[in-house]
Amino acid sequence: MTRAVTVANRLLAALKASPQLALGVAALLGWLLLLALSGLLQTHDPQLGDLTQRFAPTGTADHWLGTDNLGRDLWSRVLSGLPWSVGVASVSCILALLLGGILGMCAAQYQGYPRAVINQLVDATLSFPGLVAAILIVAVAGRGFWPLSITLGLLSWPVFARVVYAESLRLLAQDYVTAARVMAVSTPRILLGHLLPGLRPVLAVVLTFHFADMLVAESALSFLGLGAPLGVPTWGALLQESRDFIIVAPWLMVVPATAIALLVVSIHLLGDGLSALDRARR
Amino acid sequence: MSASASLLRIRGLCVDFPRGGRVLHHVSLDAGAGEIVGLVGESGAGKTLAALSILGLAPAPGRISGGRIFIRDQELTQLGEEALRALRGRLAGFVFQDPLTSLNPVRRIGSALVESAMRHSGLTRRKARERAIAALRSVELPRPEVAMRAYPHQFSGGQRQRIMIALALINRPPLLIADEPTTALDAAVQSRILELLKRRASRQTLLMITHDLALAARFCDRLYVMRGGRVVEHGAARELFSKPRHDYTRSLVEALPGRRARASVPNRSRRQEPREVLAALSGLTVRYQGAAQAAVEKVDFSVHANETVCLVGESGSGKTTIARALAGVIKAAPGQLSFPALKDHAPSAAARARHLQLVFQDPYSSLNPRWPVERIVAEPLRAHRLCGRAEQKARVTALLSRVGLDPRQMDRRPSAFSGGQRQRIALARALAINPRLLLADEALSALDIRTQARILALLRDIRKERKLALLLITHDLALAAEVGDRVIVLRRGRIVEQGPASRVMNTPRSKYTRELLAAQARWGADAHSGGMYTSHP
Amino acid sequence: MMLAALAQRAARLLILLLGVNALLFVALGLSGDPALMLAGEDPTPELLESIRAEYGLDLPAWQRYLVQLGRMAQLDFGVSLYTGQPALFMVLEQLPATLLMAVLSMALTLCTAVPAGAWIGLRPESAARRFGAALTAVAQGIPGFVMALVLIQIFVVRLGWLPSLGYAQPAAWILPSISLGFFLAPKLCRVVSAGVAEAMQQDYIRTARANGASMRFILWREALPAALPATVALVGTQFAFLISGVVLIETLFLWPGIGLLLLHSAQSLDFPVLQALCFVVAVLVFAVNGLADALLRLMDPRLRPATQ
Repeated sequence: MTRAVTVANRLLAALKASPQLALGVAALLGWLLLLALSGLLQTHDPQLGDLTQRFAPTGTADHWLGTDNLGRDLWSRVLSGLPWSVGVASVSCILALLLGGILGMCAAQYQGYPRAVINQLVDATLSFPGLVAAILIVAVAGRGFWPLSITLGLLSWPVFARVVYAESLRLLAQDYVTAARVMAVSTPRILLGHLLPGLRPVLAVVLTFHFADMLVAESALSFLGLGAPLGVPTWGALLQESRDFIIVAPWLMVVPATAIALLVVSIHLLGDGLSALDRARR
Repeated sequence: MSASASLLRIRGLCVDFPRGGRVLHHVSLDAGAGEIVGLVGESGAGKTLAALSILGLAPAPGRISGGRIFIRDQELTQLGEEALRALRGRLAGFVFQDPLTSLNPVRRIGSALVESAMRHSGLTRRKARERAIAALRSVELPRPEVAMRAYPHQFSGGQRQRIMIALALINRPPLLIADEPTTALDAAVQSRILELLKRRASRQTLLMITHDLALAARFCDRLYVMRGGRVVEHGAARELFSKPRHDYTRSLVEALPGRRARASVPNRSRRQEPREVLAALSGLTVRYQGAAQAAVEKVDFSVHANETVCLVGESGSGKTTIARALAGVIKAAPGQLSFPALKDHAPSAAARARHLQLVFQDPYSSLNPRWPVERIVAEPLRAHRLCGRAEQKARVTALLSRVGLDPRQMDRRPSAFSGGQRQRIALARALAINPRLLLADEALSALDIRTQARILALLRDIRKERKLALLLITHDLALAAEVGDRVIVLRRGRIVEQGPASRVMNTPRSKYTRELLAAQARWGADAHSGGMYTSHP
Repeated sequence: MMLAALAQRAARLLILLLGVNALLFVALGLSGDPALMLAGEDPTPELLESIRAEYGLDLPAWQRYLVQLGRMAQLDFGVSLYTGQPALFMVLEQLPATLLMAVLSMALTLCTAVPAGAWIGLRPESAARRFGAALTAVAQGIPGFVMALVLIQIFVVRLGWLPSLGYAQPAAWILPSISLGFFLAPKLCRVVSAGVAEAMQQDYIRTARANGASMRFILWREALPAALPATVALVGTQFAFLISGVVLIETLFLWPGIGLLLLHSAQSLDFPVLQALCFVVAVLVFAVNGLADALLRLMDPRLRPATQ
């Protein structure tokens, strides 16, 4: 009870101290609301076209964001594509976090071979263009939610591994960890009590930015025709469709482009706020 | 000193920070031509800020809000930034505390010197180069031509400070301001740098900022003592040191090692009965991976029950490595380290922990910043399952009270405490599992001198009360002489001398100990009435 | 020290190549019978048989893998399954266009991001620079290919100032280069500004000020040289990311580079070409990282082996 109150107080203080963070949190809450209500807010069936309403521009009475070449409502399509993209980004983030976090901690705690092998693997993976690798894998494995999520997760875990490794090394070298070792505190106790809580702020920052990166990666792959399966209107897929009508119907491009930019910028805002908070704490 | 001979005059200087309020309060100071003036005080007293303000270098957003500053009757407080900039380096040169961070790591030594000479003295590049080499030669840097092309990291700390002095003096300013110029250096190097400063600045006025009252008393002609942004006392150095008028100055003088009451010297006379050996090192050798030299080589000594042993050495002498080996952080080779009192050849980690505990140097990194104090102090209790949750609070309360902290603050985090208080928390944690041997690795060196004295008194009381053995690791010979029954002097990983404290201090056998003693005594001894190291019984 | 670093890099390259190669080999096995693909419509069993013999597809998998490795060691990646041209030749033919765009956009990035970053970092608390910093933060959030689409919409469709397609005329180089610049420039700008801001807090800046150095001198001779190594390191580590950008931008502008080739080969599962592409990309990244490393040593004397 009192603990919850102090946590809430500290959160409020942090929000007050950083308008950036407050803005980021507000934007995030907005997006979450949109995500939760995406089904309710759709005014039309996103897949059902109305050929009498083709290429209605943004601002049309019944279709406030306009319609596409088949007369489908753009607002509904934009909304219905969101959960799929967020799902892919979430799954790949969790996968990358678990893999990278565990391997990064192992590399920090166990010197010698585990460290050398993991670090070599991390460096090799990071030095190869992620999108190129993703294109190769997806081209073979096929489109779809799980292939895409797992591919992105498997390709991006080194991002976490590197950060977790570096931060763990720093934390494990702190005198309070040495003190714990001198007091014969067991290794699991040290990892759970000292290391994990210490990693939390950095992980929050990396996770935030990584989530944005995964959203961008998914939309880029969908844009190239390799991400979302046909019929799932993710924002990258919408951009891909819009390319044929760039002159007659620019809104088909502008609306999803703006949506992606807004989403990513607001997530970055949160990330910047979190990292400023982390720096201030040190 | 008459006012006309005065080179630097500060009258009623006030500096404000928009959020922090007033930081300097009506500071007045005079420094005559050729005089050495000391500005003394603990950290946060405003000494550095006062010195930086002279040429408008106070860090933003600090602002001079009152008072006047003159150098050679030119009023500086009236000048704008550009005019002040033209005077910096020409009217006053600065030497800062840490020569490593005060020189740009990616620039050659020569370019900094040459550019400074060209800027102020209007020299051609060639002339400036010649002057730079001459300046490096005058601070006795070996091979100045080669040094010109080198980078800061290629020099030792003492050499870097010589370069800083050359840089400060290259435009021959009448005033040299030295901010803790020797604090980051080892004792033996310190004295050489101070001698150099004295020689080089013989025709200049030297404003010397230091926290070290003994050093200032010996080195300076006159002293200004600052506290909380105010000058509390000033006067001729020796007089001020021997007969301090202000309470604060008196407390500073009394807190000096060797000055503190040594009324109770336990154990010193009764060393006859054989005592239990708590820890024994025999030929301990530690070599870090990739290092050319062993950090510690063939070190032998033992610590007995209920005694205080001081391990003295400068940075790099291997004293911390020894502490870590004793504590089990570094594995010692079999047979090189034993704990006879445990009656177990290979004691478990837990048994060893209950036998021996460690207090660290840095009170900021030795406590987990995310944990409340109660959890920190209780960590060993929980790890060793010594008490349940219900009893935990009572135990922590007792421990905190014992080290002089208010137990009601136990749910605060370490950031709410000062350095001295944190060190008390660390001490409470170390005492929680009742060790018989306490290691203090430079546990006092990060603290102000008066805090140091208080923590030391606490350590002594607890030691006596619990019959603890104490292994105190320090770079400070004076401190070792004051508290140690025995003193062990380390150099480059080897023991150069060990013996009873009074013997080592009075008749040191090794050359190195004599050097260390000389370095400290030269800056402290004859400022004390009767001398510092000669009055031991 | 230099040699050891080089050896480590070479080892990493080898690991990477083997990894990618194995991955592609497995993928090839999963993607179906290549003989069927090669044979065209309605193949006779005899035709399939002869194709298998010709391409060595009748051998067991591990033998095929070893044979392939041996060929790769001689830089023989086989011929494209579609054009019949040597795969490596096809890649190398497309490479100059990619390099042209990469160099142009890198020049553009450095010329804008470094001065802008230095300007922001010098006094990060002033209002105009805070706005600049916010702008770069926003720019960093906008995905590069989305930015490219917006640029096309503005400069090609609305204003008609620039051609969007084609490679022959230099005017068509402008938009792809700017678009690719957006992948790295905001990030670089932030790194430079953070580096300069951090350098300005250092003790040696105080030393320079105490010696009467002007603000301009401090920026150019003290802060920027201290901040540049981090910048170079970023360019080195982000080069792989830049290649990802190349793929997207080339697709968008139909730029005849290796990115476009990659997409087409991936869509048609042209494995020999993909093998050759991965090889070239890995070598390219290896070369750029090595270059950045050497540059870093040149800029930061602390990384050089001790001479004194």
